[in-house]
Amino acid sequence: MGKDPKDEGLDRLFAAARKAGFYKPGAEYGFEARVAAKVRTKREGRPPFFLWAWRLIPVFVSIVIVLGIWIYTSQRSQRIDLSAVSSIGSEETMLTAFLTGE
Amino acid sequence: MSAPEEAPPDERLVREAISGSDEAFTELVRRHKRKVFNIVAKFVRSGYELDDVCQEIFVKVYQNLNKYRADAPFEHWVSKIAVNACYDALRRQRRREVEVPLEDVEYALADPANGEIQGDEAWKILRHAMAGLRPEDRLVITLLNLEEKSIREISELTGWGESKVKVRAFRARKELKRILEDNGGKRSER
Repeated sequence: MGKDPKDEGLDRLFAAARKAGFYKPGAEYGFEARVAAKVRTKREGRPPFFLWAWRLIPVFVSIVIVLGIWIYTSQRSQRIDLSAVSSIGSEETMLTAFLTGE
Repeated sequence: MSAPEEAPPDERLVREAISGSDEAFTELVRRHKRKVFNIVAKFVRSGYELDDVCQEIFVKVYQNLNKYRADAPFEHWVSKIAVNACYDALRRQRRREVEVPLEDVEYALADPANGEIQGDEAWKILRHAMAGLRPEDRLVITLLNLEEKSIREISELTGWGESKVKVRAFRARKELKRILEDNGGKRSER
């Protein structure tokens, strides 16, 4: 069984392409200097630790504010009404006085 | 008369580069840039992108020098980084519909008795046709048929299993033949 002619055609294309140059001569000119410059930029551009810590401050401030709001709203709902407590006491006194006839 | 100084091996330059020697790293770049350019040029669309990707590769090489284990040649380690960078570049490129000139395709696939196809012409046709392949398929077919790597070598370079490489090679070839055939057909209908 012979090979598919399309396969042969494709193989010929690949074989011919392999002989061609894939990029223009001169593309590599000065490449080492460009790489060295890029490496230097990456090396010097890395921020020191304290700059990273500085960026986290707004996050911490936001957390503190949210916590503060949450604590304030939860404490408000738990506040004891003293006038209600005192009125309970006086209602009992009035009831006792009524029943005993005092 | 003193004997000429032998060029230091790659492993020694790597140690010196890790210690901070820029000259050592520059020498490594000088030695291996041609190989990297040759690999990358098969995947990119312009001279600008070629330079960009090659720079990216050597920056990655620099940043990962301390991970190089001298159990394989340095060139092989750099090739692996280059292949991965090319795969990333292919995934960034959008796949596009391909229009290959009819006369070029017919001539290219015709009887070899008609004469040899010009290398530049063949590369132009293939580059256009391969633009329609999935990135992983294009990577495999390029390494197999243009870089002439074996399935095993491709498997080592990409980290993919050999079965996966074979399936992708088969799929890529089938799709390429379809693209070349379809585009030749479309033009003949006009």
